[in-house]
Amino acid sequence: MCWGVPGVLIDMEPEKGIARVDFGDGVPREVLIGITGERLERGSLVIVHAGVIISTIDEKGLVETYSLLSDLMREAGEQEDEGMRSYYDYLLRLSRQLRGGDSS
Amino acid sequence: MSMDEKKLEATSSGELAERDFLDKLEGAFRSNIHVAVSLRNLIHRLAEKALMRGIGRIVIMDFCGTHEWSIVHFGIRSLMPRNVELVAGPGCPVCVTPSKYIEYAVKLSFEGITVYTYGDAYRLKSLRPINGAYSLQEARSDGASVQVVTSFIDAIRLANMSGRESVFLGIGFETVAPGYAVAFKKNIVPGNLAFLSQVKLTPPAMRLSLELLMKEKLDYRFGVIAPGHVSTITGAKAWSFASEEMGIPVVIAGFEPIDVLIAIAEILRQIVNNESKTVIEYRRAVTWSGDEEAQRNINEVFTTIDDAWRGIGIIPRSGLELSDRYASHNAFEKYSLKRISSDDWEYDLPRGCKCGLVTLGKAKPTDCPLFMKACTPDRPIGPCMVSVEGTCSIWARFGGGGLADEVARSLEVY
Repeated sequence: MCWGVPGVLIDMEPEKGIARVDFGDGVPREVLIGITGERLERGSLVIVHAGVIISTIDEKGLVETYSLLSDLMREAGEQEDEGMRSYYDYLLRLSRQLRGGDSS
Repeated sequence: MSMDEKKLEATSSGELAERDFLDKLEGAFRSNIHVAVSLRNLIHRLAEKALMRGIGRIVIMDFCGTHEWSIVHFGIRSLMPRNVELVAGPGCPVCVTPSKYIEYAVKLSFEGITVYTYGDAYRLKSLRPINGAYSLQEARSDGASVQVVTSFIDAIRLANMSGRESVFLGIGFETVAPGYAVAFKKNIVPGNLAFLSQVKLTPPAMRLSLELLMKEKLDYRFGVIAPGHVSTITGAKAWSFASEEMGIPVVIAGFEPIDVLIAIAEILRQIVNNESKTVIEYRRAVTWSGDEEAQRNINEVFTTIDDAWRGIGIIPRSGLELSDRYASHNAFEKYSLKRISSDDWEYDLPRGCKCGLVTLGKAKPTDCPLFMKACTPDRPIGPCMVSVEGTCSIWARFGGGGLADEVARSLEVY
């Protein structure tokens, strides 16, 4: 299955096939760039599966991922938390900021 | 496709209306209850039409754990007309990793070689014990060198730091394969880290599952909900064999319940109209040709082999092995481990476990005598219960309720 975790691309080293992605905790983590590099830029919203960037998403896609995940959490008996909402808000804000514009 | 093209494609006004309806719905997202009710009604109307045209039963197969999760979680099965059955197909790479290869990894870990593995493969049990250990988890508690990682890049970093001889158990489908490929191509895998490739390809498994179903259920019609994320890499074209050669409608769908319902409606629409096309519903992420650079990288680094699937057998051209150029990283070569061939393949599931049949969509988890009795998420016996992606695990953890209840309420079913 391809549970994808959303994150924001902070920077990349295309010659190594590596990028650093912030998954919402402010700590950039190394991932492998699985897709065509030209589709990626600083601030791109990406879906990461098992440490591999498998696609980019737009803001609408991120909102959909959020609702799917929050349903899953509820079902799994996890608390419906403010934390997760603020995590998604953080990703959106960071993405907009890094892309150098506020598209809201 | 422009609206005009769509109009040209539609041949009857009824079909046009249905298509138009589906297109409008595509814009909607989230589990909008009104949309869900409309879709449920549309699905029932189409199923009725199919019956009127003499089409008895229809089986729709999904090939992705996330789709199966959506179907189970939102209770979509309970919304289906009686003549439409939803079946889970091969969507879990950990579930089909042969017992023998787990045994190889356990053996290496006892020989002082550090084995890096994903969390669910760590708990995966083999048929035979090695030094008394049935899994990497048991090997570790017996002092072997095993480390759980969440990604290949973690294993690369740790192997670089330790400098020790190590192996990565490279499980996955087409989603993770381009990541493995790019690491080898960019030459960032250290010499002390070997790769035990367990990368499996989904189209050959889809073909086999469908062929088996078609053989067994002669008067049925079939449809496929194809995996979304795999398709971002492979492109929709990877599934066109099913629609073109086998006459089976294919829809590549997103993961929301609405996406899945739209896919089912489109499949039924095609069946009623005697069409078989590959259609992309998940247009926000999937294209016809996929990510060509990712495909090129995979083809450069790996070669396609006939591969063993646990509980199922050898499926032709269904696995990826490191190509000769990367032979020094290939754990099979480095440690003289033999790949399973069709001559020495043996049934490798625990006694009573139906994971192989469940994976192929020939049995439901509830058909297995062990399901939720001897085999539970806390004490899993079979691989389909061990992996969070496994159909048994999804059924066990996320059964029933949700959207279906709401829809039933709004229809005043109860």
